[in-house]
This record gives sequence, C-alpha cells and structure tokens, in this order.
Amino acid sequence: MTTQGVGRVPTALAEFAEQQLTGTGLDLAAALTLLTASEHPYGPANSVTAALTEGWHSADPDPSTTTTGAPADQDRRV
Amino acid sequence: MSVEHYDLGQRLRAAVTGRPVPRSCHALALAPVDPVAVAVHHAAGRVTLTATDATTTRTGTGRDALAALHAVHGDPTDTHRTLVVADRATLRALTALARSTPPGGPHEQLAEVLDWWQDRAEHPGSGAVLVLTEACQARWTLGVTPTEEHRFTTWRTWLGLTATDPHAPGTSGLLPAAAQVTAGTPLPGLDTAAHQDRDSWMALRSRTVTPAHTRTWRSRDTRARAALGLASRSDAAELMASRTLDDPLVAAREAHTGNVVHAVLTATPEPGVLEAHADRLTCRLRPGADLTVTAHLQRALPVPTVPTGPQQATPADPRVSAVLSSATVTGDGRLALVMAAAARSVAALTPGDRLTVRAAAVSPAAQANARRTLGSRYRHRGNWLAAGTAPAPARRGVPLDVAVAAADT
Repeated sequence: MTTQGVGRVPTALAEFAEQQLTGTGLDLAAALTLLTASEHPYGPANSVTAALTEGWHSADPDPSTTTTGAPADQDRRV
Repeated sequence: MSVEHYDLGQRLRAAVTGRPVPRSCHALALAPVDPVAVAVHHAAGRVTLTATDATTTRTGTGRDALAALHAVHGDPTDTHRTLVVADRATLRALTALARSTPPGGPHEQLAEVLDWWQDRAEHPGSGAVLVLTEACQARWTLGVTPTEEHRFTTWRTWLGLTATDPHAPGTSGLLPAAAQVTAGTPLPGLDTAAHQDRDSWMALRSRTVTPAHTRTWRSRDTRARAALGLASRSDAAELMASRTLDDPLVAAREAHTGNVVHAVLTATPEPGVLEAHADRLTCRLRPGADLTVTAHLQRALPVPTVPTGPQQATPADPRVSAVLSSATVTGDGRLALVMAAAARSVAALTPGDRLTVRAAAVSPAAQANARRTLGSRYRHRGNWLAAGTAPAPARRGVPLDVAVAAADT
C-alpha cells in the first residue's frame, strides 16, 4: 500500500483528505503535524482544527466513556 | 458543518495507528441469535449460494441454491435465527431467489423466512438481520476512504479476519465479524427491537401453521397493511436515531452536526427557566422544539475558555424534559439558549453545570400507540383512502353570511 506525506496514510485516503481540507488553510502534512502534536483533545478553538482533533482523539480511551474495549482488545490490522 | 473534519480526524488516526477507531462506546447491533451466514455470487448467469452456521456449511448453484440454505437453516422453529450477510446486495439477491421459487414448492417456508428477513432488515435496530458493512461502519472508522468501507473485504482485513475457510470461501469472516461488531455493552433500549423481532416472528409462524389463513407472503399488501408497514419502518428508524444519541461517542460526533449541543448553564433567572451558553455555534434545534437535557452535576466545572468534549451521563445525572424558548447569538459571538422545564425537575441545577441538549428522546410506547391509532383509522369503514374509493362530491347549503362575505371580497 503506497503511503504519502507524514505517517502511514494510504494514497487514496491522502487524496480524499486533501479534498476535504481544501479551503481550510491546511494541507494533509500540516494537519497530521497538528494532530500528532496535539495533546489536549479539545484545545483548538478554530472549528476545523477543533473538529479534526476531536475526531483524532476520540480514539483515546477514557475510563468514563469507554465501556466495551472491543476495538482496543480485539482489532488488529494485519 | 464540521462533521466531515471530525470524521477525517478519525480516519487519519486509524491510518496512522493501523487500527479501527471506535465511533460508539456501545454495541449498536443486537447479538446474533443462532446466526446463519450467507454469501451469494453470480457467475456466468448462475447463482451460487454458500451458507454456514460454523458447524455446517453448504454450497448450492442454480436451483440448488436455496437447498443449500435450507440444509443449514432447517425448517423454521419458534425462535428465529439471525441472517448475517456482508451487504444489502446479498440481501437483494436472496429476496430475488425467494421470489423465483414456485408457490407450494419444497422451499416455500424458507422463501417466506427470506421475505421476513428482508422485512426486518428494513427496521433499523432489528437483530433479525446483520448487514456487516453497515454495522461495522456504525461502530468503527477505518483509515481508508468512505467508499472502501462499503466493501466487506476491507473490514475483514482491518478486523484481522484474513484466514480463508477453504470450505466456505464466500462466507469467510462473516460470523467472526458478526461476533466482533456486536461485542460489548449493547446500546440501552435495543431490547425493544428484540421484542419486536420476536412478535413479528411469532406472527409469521401463526400465519404459517394456520391452514385457514389465506394470506401468504406472496399476497399483495392491503392499503392498511402497507401504510402500517411504512409507519413501522419509519418509527424504527426514528427510534434508532434517537437512541444512538445516548452513546457518548455518537453524541460527540453529533455535536458537529448540531443535533447535540454541549453547553454550560449560566443562569436560572426564574424557576424552571434555564439559560445556557453553547460550546459552539452549530445547532439544529429550533425554538419550540421538545428537548431532553442531561445535566452533569457531578462534573460541575467553571465555564471553560475553550470548547470541551463529550460528557458521559451517569445514573445520578438528572435527565429532564424541556422546551427550547430561544436560541440567539450574543454580541460576543456565543450561542445562548433559553429553555423552559418543570421547575421541580431542574431545581438541583446551578450555574456552571455542564448540559447536553438534544431533541426529546423518542418513546417507543408513544410510537406503538400512534400505530394502533393509525391502524384503527384504516380499518374504519368511512376511510375512503383505505377503501380505495373516492367519496362522491356533494353540495351543501352555504350560510348566507358566508355567501355575502365571499361576494364582498
């Protein structure tokens, strides 16, 4: 699977992401840099970056909200 | 709307980590009941069907296709079995197979079960049929494009189910994927759908075993039956959409569509009146809308300087009904909500409490009552819509004052 830019983003997703980011002032590399560096899930006040980071950090386990644990325990990409 | 960017954030996270990202904390589908997985393939104008229930696997082609499914499913009993398929295309192929069987043939009962599965598959939340690509998309996001998520092979890879069963290549991974996507705590309220599945199945069984019953699954629906069927499907979709908002991860996403608003209570100017500032301007709720407001008393925080995240309700958090009186943008660019509720229900709330505001939760009891009323109206003799005959036009005398008023205008 071909990757592009920062991280391991497949080409098809990278192209899709660039389309979604059009007009936001961000490109994929900038978005990934922002996301991988963000520590606080809900910090940025800008609506685009806030939405991106909230989606990114929705994967983080939170004892108060995670009740299943299924994805973390069972799912592995091979 | 920023929900596309929320989804993109999830996709990028999944791509970078190589793991699916959860979209919900709860299982949004009921655990399958004695599941039967089915795959259908078309090649050279012939249909090949593979069915398996993990212990028995059969494959049939052409006229033997339904015989293979019958060998695995067996004759219908008092308990329905869950059909597990990869996508809706498989479901449509099975329905076509059922309709191609001759009336009164050896697979008549199985064809009726296939028709029942098709019917239940149109009721979101039902556990009679598990369409895996849809169930998986509701539960997780992958590091691929949305189009690629429509293919079960993508899910099979990401869920680590690549091992191919040489005896059932078409159904490989279906049952393990069904187990994974339904694992965990089910969404509260899904048991209502299970009851409806059971009731519907018993209705089917009573039609099957009653010789005097003239209606079969091949009979054309009456107007009343069609109308009630449509209402039942609409109600199921509405109820499921409402219930999923109770999941904190779904609610976090829906905050970006405006269907859920996270806010901070700023004042209670008089008993029963709540004034709150929303975290963001996105809001689909309109003045006059009935609301369900969850107050997170145990997490009472000062008004944050930045938007905060999803809130998980605890049993101690009061959940009250309210009506949205107004939603206005203040001079400093914030969305201010004013809500009216019963004074006693919100007496414990104090400024600073976090609120999760959404449209009023749908009541399945109210839906059932509405369907009963609809049914009685369709059965009423005077209902010309149900009878299919237009009423004869009739002239009536016009009161003099109405005629004079009409002449003046």
